[in-house]
Order: sequence, then C-alpha cells, then structure tokens
Amino acid sequence: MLSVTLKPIHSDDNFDITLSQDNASGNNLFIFQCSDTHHEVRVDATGHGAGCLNLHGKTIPFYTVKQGNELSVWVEGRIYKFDIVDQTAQRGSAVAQQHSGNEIKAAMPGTILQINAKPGDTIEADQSIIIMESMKMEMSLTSPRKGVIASITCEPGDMVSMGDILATLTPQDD
Amino acid sequence: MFRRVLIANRGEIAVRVTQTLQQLGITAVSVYAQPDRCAMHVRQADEAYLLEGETTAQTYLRGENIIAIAKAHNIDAIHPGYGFLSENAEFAQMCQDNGITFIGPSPEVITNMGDKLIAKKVMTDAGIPVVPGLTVSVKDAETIRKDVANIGYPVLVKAAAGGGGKGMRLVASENELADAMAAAQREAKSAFGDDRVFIEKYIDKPRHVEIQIFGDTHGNVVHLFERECSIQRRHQKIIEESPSPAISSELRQQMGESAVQAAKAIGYTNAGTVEFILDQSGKFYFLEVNTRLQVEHPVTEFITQQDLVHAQLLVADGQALPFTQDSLKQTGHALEARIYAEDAERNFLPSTGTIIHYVPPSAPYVRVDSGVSTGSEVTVHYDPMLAKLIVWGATREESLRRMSWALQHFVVMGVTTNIEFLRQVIEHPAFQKGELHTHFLEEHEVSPPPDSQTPDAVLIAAAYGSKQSSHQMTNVSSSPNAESNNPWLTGGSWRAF
Repeated sequence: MLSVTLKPIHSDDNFDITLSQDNASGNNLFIFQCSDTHHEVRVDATGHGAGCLNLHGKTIPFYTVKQGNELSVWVEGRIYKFDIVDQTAQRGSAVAQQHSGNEIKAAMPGTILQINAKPGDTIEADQSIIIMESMKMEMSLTSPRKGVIASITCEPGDMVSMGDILATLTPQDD
Repeated sequence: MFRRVLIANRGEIAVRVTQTLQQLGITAVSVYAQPDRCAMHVRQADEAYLLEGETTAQTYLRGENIIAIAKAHNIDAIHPGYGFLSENAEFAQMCQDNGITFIGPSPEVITNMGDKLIAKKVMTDAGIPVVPGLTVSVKDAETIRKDVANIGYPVLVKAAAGGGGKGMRLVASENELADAMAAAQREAKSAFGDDRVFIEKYIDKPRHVEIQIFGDTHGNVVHLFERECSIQRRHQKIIEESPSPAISSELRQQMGESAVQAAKAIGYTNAGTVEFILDQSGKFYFLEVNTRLQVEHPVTEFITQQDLVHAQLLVADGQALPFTQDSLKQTGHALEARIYAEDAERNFLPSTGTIIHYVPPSAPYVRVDSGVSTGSEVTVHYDPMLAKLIVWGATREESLRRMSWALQHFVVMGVTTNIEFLRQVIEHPAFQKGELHTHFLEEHEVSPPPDSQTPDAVLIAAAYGSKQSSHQMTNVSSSPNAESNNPWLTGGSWRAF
C-alpha cells in the first residue's frame, strides 16, 4: 500500500491519496482512495513511471517524471505538476506499523466479509484473522504476531473505515 | 550529383537534411560539438566528426574548422541548414575558395540581403513596395526629427544588421525618439557588432506573410506560394501556415510575382524567402530576404508535395529546378507548430534538463521533424527548439483539428515545453477564424484553463508515479528494464486475495 500527500504547484489544496494493490489477482488492480472518492483501477506499467490506467473501462495512458520532490504527470495532453509533501507509507510500511502493535486495523475502507477467530483463540503470526472486501477486492488481515485474541470489534457485514481497529490481541512469547 | 555532403548544423534541421541525402544515396556527414556527441543528428549521420572547442563560436560557428574537416574527408558540398553559418557570406566564400559547393545562394547575394538597408534599397529600385521609412542608417535623432515626423508616428527603430527583434524599438511619439534610438544602437552593437539603425513606419496589427522563392543557375526563378507566420513570441515565429487565411488568389499572385521580381533583381539562386508585412487593408511591403532554407519550409513541402532539400541539392549541383511555376500547385492546407523547451507561463523562459519521455504523435498527414529523443539533454548552449510538428489537411479546418489532436498526443517530459500553450493558441477562437497579426499573443490572453479540479486519473497516475525513484538520480538509458523499476513488485508484506 502507498500513502502519499500531493500538493498541486498552483494550489494549496493537498491531496491525501492511498493506493492499495491486489497482489494476488495478478491483474495490477489497485484501490485508489482520496477523501471520499474510491476507485478500482488497473494500472499497467510500461516502465520509467509510464503506463496505462483502466478506470471504469476508460483507458488513460500516462507518463510521470519525478525529480526530487517534484512530480509531473502527463494525462490526455496536459501536464500536472505536484510537490510530494509526504510519502510515509512505502512498500508495505503501513503494514509494518500494523504489525508493530497489538491491533488489527482495517487497511482500507470496506466491508467485513468473514471473521476467522474468536476471543480467547491462540493465533500464530501472519494467521488470517479477518477478511474484508473493498471494491470487489478481498483482503486478508493477518495477525501481527503470535498471541491470544483479546477482542473482536466487528461483525461480518460491517462497513469500516481505513484504520478502524477490528481486533485486539494479547501478545504471547515463544 | 554530390557523393558526400557535410551538414554544418545540428538539431532537427541537420537530421532533416540527412534524411534527404541518405534517401538519394548521398553520404551524410555531420559535425558536432562535444555536448552533442550522442545527439540525434550525429546518430543519424553516416559519418560524424568532432568540432574541437568549447563555445558555439569555437565549434558550429567556426567556418575554417568545418572547411578543414570537409577537405580532410573529401566533402563535395556543405549544407548550412538555418542559423549558424547559413547566412554568413564569408563562409560561403570560403567554401567556394576551397572547391566545396556551398548549398545556398552566392556570397554576394548573402552579403547584400544580410544588410537590411542595402536590401531595402535594391527592392525599392526594383519597384517592390517597401515600408515607408528612412532607408539610410541614422546615428543622431536630432538630424532626422523632421523626416520622422513626415513618415508619421508611431515608428520602429530597427538594427541594420538585425533580426529576431534585437535592436528594435517602438517609438510612439517624438519625445521618445532619442532614447529609443540610443537603446536600439546599444542593443544592436552588442548583438551584431554593428550599431547602425534605421527608421520604419510602424504598421498596426500587421500580418507576416512570406513567399518561398527558388532560383537555379539557368535563370529560372519560381515562387512556391506563401506562408503566414504571424503568430510570434519575442518576435520569433512559433506557428506558420499556408495558405494564409488573409490572402486572395489575386493578392497571392501579386505577392508571388513581386517576390520573383525581387529574386531576379538580385540574381537569386537556390532556396530563399521574401518576407512581407501585410497591413489590415491588404497592402504588402517588403521586409527582408532570408537567404537560406527556413525553419518553416515543411509547410511549403506539404502543400506543394516537393522536397525542398532535394531541390536545393539539384540547384547547387548546377541542374535545373525540378519544377516550373505552372507545375507547382498549392494543395490543401498545412500548419506548423514549433515545439520549444520553454515555459510559456514564465515569459517563455527556456527550460533545460534531460528528456525523460519523448513520444511524438504518429498519424497520416502528421510530420514531426525532431532533433531529440528520450534521453536527450537540453542545454543552455543551443536554441531551445526541440522539434517541429507539421500537419496537412484538405482544408484549414481539417488541419486545425489535426494539429489539436497531434499536440494533445505529443508527450515531452523532463523539460518544460510549450506544447500545451501551442494548443491553446491553435484552439483560440481568433486563431480558428484566421484573425492573425504579429501581436496576436499580446492582444489575446492565451492562458491555460484554470486548474479547477484535478481529475482522479491524474491523481492515480501521480500516486503511482510518486513511488518511482527520482529521475535525476537514475540514468535513463542504462536502466531499460521496466520490471526492476516497478516498486509494486518489490515491496508489500501484506496480502490481499
């Protein structure tokens, strides 16, 4: 997952964006989220920051250039320039954060599909605890460490926001 | 015909000339300064030789070194392109003295037409209309006050040796005359080493209309119709077209005949351009003769279906022109836009850097004359023109649509370019209606559409692009493997199903 804050150079409105990949699908599918907007989008890279989006059926070639903190994006004959204000979560570091605590949080906004554990269960690290769905993409939320489930704070069918705590656990050392 | 031709130039025009040479089976020999060792014009040439030296004056402008290379490598003829040595009579003479054909007019013609005052006098004598003014060089404002008053303000002060708007001043009233002249003289002195200036009546909202001429050594002189080049920024053309939307067939014939008459009056051979100013009432005045192939020659090539470089080679070789006035037809409409590395939002300040993405449009009746590609360095050393985009259509409307499409599909990233600006000009209602004049860009506010909302697709692409390593840190040409650059394939410890 990627979180990035971008500021258009001609404006003061920041965009807080997250882009989450559906690794397993092999289709380069991503969930894009920015404020209240969500999209499922396919991104096919052609290299060097260029590629083609498929956004609800519309194909949109793009080219990007990153020079330091400046990012230029070519889409449909226009070039948009941004400053990269903040780029905290790179290459799964959001998950690393998630793994560091004793909480299992929603990694994206969506719906809880299935709960694979109940309070009191002893679980292994990386064990699938909750399966959620967002924009037709399923995601398994795994245990950050070995431990015992202390609480489950969601039910199948619940709509959750990104970062919501869905379960807590008591760590257990080997 | 020549066997080996050296091109004393760089960039898109050197590439353009190389293409015709190679198509004719002639060996194309390029020369290059050190920063250009991997440039497009070097890569496309059959042979390339280094010009020793640091500055442009020591390399592309040093005629004797180029002649030495030509002699060392058995060159038959030199094509000078435009700019650099193309209108340098000394260089043309040097070629002649060394038994090398200079592909252009004679040194005498270059000398005479290079001097705006002599040119104006020759044209006046030949009965070609010229802009009212003082055709003698003037030093002192006091002595000419009365004469200038007779011409009538506003007037323009222009450099005799000038071009490109350098040493030019607009004078609205008599009390500005002395200061304007002094400023123009200073500027002319530093730009051309020649502080002679002259005075011309200022024409309001003039159009720039020029006639392509061609002469051979057998006494044939023809014109290849007009190009309107009214869209200019900083007195330099950026959009050209033919036919001009302002010209009737009668006026076209009159201007064409005047240009041929002018060419005959000076014994012109090879390709040249007679530039005119056309006022709002349809009166035209001689401006100058450019004794070279013009940047905008592809416009004429499209509407006449001729290869002007080929014709230049034939004429330089002593052969007759491959066309006659009667065989030349002006078919359809052609439009050219010059792609510059410059920032239209910052007073067209040149932009430098490495071109990271370069994807020119490709379609029927779309031509791109380019001097760069992905990985090219755009430096402060040379003109920031990267490429020319030329389109043809059966009608002006068709070529306008095609040009809009082509600009929208022309990707240049890594340096700032004027591509979006050109599209705004082309799509401006006044341009669409053909209401052109040389101050079009000052009169019309051509500004980008407001960034009201950033499309989601842009944000997705931006987020995706933000993950790549900075382009300044990576050498583009050495990392061709897209997969290894794909951050999504390397990270991510969480799983999704």
